[in-house]
Amino acid sequence: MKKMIIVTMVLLILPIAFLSQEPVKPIQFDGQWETARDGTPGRIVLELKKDGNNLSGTLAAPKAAQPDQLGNPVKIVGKVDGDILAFNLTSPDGNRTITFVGRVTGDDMNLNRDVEGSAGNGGGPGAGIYGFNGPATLAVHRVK
Amino acid sequence: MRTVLLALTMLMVQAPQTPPVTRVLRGVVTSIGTPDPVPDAEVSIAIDKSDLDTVIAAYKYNQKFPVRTTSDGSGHFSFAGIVPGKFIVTVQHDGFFAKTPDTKGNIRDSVSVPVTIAIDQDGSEISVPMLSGAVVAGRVYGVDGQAVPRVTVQAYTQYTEAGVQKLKPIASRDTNDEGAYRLFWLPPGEYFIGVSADGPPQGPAIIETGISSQIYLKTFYPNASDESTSSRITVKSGDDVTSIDINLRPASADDLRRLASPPPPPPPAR
Repeated sequence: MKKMIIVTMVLLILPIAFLSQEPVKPIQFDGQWETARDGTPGRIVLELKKDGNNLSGTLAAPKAAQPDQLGNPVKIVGKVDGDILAFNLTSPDGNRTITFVGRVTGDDMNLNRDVEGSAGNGGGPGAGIYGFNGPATLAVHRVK
Repeated sequence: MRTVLLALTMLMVQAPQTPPVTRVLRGVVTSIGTPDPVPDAEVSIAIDKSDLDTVIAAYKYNQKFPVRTTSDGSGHFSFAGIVPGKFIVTVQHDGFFAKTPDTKGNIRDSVSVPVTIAIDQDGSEISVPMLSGAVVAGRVYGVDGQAVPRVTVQAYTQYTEAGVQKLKPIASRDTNDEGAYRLFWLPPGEYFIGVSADGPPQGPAIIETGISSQIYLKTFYPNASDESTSSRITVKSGDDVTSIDINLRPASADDLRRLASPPPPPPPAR
């Protein structure tokens, strides 16, 4: 009798437990992500394409001398695991490797940034996205 | 009954993130060519950023790198709670050097070792061998055979720049009251040992002793005017080379005349 009650409770509660969970949306990495939604000058533009667990794409940052214009896009090489992504890119002067890692939540992506390498002959773009003194984090939003 | 109800309640709550599988990395810092360990070395472990799986794993489980420690009295160190992946272990200690130079041929004062921490291994130990700095010591004598204190003895390495051979000082120490010097923590290699001198651009470089009226000219071991006639000193890891005595060259009357009225500098190029 006791066994019967337990089995009945399991059969009744399990479907409720699963139904009460929010439907899991697949994480969308593909698309264009930007630091500003309205195309403000000085924004950073990230284009991503996921293939299995691999990630490819480009990152474009404002030119140092003309911050209202985007510089040439730099290729990225990345990986994903669940809602986490990480990617590396080489600075345009070839002296530094910049690593980004973070999480996608809906249409928002928050990344930590880390730089390794040397400043280079010109001292490197210190406070830019490719420099040692650039931002430690990067928040982007999906625009496409 | 209670157990079943508890299990069902837990099912209804969203499953927490699985705790990470972590491993311990152990290592030992040793001195090349000797059985001696290297205690008190600064050791750090950092993610090999080229391995994005490790970058993701560290982020996922909120592991912050680099992590630092120091080697104990027997040269051992360990890092616990590390997620499996690819890392770089870097060891640094004053007076110790990497076996291999950097890409530009310079001796490195730290050693970096790539390490893979596998999920199915725990407690394995890595060995980080380092070259021990060498010592070159001796005395500086004047014309009368007396010890010369307070002069600066330097160890130079030779390098070529634009086809011209040049000297670069690597270590520098003043002589003590007995004229003795001891250059320590020298990376293994070849050196010219000389007494530092200064002078006008067109005149002879002289050595200021500050305690005697005698003026000396720049001198390399044992009594040479330049490196071409000097004896080269070769030191290996942990060497203690003594009796590298330098007999200073006294300035001649001609040198003193040149010092008093150095020739005018050449006219600037048009």
